[in-house]
Amino acid sequence: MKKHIILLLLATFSLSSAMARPSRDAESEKSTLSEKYQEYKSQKVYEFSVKAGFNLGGSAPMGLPAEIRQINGFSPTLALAITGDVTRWFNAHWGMTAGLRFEIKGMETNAGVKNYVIKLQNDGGYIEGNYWGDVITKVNNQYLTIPVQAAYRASERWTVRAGLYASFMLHGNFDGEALNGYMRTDPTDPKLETSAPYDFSEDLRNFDWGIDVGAQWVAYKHFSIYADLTWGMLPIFPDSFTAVDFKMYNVYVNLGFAYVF
Amino acid sequence: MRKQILSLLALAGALLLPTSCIKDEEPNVECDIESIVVADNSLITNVKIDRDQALVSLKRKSADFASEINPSYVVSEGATYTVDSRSDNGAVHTEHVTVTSENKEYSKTYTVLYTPTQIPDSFSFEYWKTDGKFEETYEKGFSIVVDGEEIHYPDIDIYLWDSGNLGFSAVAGSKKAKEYPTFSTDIAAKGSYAARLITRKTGSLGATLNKPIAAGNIFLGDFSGDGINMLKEPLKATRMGYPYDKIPTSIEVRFKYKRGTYDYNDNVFKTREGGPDFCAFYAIFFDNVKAKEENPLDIPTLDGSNLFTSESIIAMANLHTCDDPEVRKYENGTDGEWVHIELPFKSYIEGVTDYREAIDIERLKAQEYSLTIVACASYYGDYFEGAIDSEMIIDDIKLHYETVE
Repeated sequence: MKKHIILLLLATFSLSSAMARPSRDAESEKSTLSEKYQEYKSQKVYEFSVKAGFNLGGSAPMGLPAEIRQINGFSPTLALAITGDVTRWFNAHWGMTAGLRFEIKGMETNAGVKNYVIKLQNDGGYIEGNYWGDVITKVNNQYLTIPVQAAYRASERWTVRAGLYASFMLHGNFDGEALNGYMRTDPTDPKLETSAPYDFSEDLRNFDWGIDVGAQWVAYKHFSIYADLTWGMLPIFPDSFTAVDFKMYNVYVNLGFAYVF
Repeated sequence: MRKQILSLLALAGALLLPTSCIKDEEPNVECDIESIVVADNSLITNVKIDRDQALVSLKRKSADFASEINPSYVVSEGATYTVDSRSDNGAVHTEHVTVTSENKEYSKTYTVLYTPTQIPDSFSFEYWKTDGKFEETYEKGFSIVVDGEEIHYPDIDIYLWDSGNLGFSAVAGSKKAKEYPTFSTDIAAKGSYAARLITRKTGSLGATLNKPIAAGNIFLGDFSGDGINMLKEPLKATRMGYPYDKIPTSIEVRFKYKRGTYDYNDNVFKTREGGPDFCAFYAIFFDNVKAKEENPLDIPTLDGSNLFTSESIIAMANLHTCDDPEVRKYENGTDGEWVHIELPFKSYIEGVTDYREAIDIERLKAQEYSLTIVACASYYGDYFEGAIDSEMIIDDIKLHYETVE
């Protein structure tokens, strides 16, 4: 994994130095900027695009724990993603893409649980219990994301990409409620038929990185549709956070339209 | 193009699939007695199942336990039970039942008593047991009259009182038993111990649940969340009263009271009438057949939602509606002193002055009337209204009554 990261970093570096050169050329030569642009465009060395789409997926454990007995409901919510990116083509097939994305990764789930460990905050302290009933989870995290990917143009219409992303959280929300059931503070303690709201927004990790692989298909001259799978490598909560018994990762598919300049 | 979108969606779905597989269910960890099934249900007046003891109140001494009662236990899903011992001691039948969870990791041994239950003539709150995380008071030894003869059982513990401590445990975290709303104290008017009731804050979590306080309280009955949604109808968690085959005339109690000033938000607390907090002490005598008709769970008890409104109520002795202002004033505070009061029962039936006239003696003998006693550090505590640190200590309750031939 480390080796791949280094390779990608090197690739990014060469990309940025490649981007730096044309501006110096622009000074030395007397052609106008628009002429330059037309030239690049005809060469198709740089390809700029803006993408608008939404994230579909979950901030979820890798494999559901046995305490989750059924999924009563799932909503991807309106998790928008706006990307601006540039691809530097090195030859007819290979290139490098880097961009900046504002995105929301969010979802709402309703799961039927049995003996599910819940820890609830009460005046700063935690109350631990086991819950039998339903657990609703609402996630809505805003990230500023930098994807860096290798691009491969497979045909006139298909381009596939693979790389990494780094995300910085602008605002995070992770809350929910246990309801329609009962809690026990210990399996031998009596049932308490109650609901229990929780909010772990403050505990979310501010950084995420992961794998970003995707495909893009040219529908019209400038319009493409795209899908990118972004798979987080960092649990959304730090290791020091113990209120949820399992590690959760951001796994989302970013789907949408691209306008290619 | 639609095809491409669909294939992209399918790809997305396939990639997410591994995260959505439901695992095989693990063996259950619960080990409760959920209910007790008996052969002749008409013999049962009340069933109270606590953490590891249960009291099944019978109308009369069972003539033939094996055929009339012959109990079986409904336990948690997957759990199993064994009856470790059965013993008969006059009118009292005792069973020790061990329930083991499906995963074999947890077990509890319940002491289950089957007995005619009679409310004692006095209570002094001398005996307390830590039941899980909080304290519960019990009567050490009790007496019952069987066939006109009083039998005393000195070694049988009987749990008649309950409190809202179980509800508080949901927000209590690591709080000690003495930090709960209801617990024992050695500040006693008589004997060594008394019941101390303090209105507590339930914290940010309690406030989110619209239960910002938990008033210290104690009552004759059972606090149970079975069959109700404790969040939506918390008043129904209190099942009040046990059969009483005498006509109560008055009730005596010794208590101390000091009210708190502030609410859970540190604002000056005001009751719904706009005044400061005050305490509650009352006893209610009611027709348990009518109460059962009113009860959606078909239980012959009153609960917080109909405690003052039920058609079944015959008579009440209530400090708050006491005619004597010299007695009533103590609901506001006792200046750190113990006070000793006696409250007469007054008719609760409209148009009837002497409630004795409304009592059917045959039905009284048949245990179709019940009595409950309630004490609370904040009068509207059942509605989660009260001043933090309102504190009541009660001791030495005596019931006065007329017996019928």
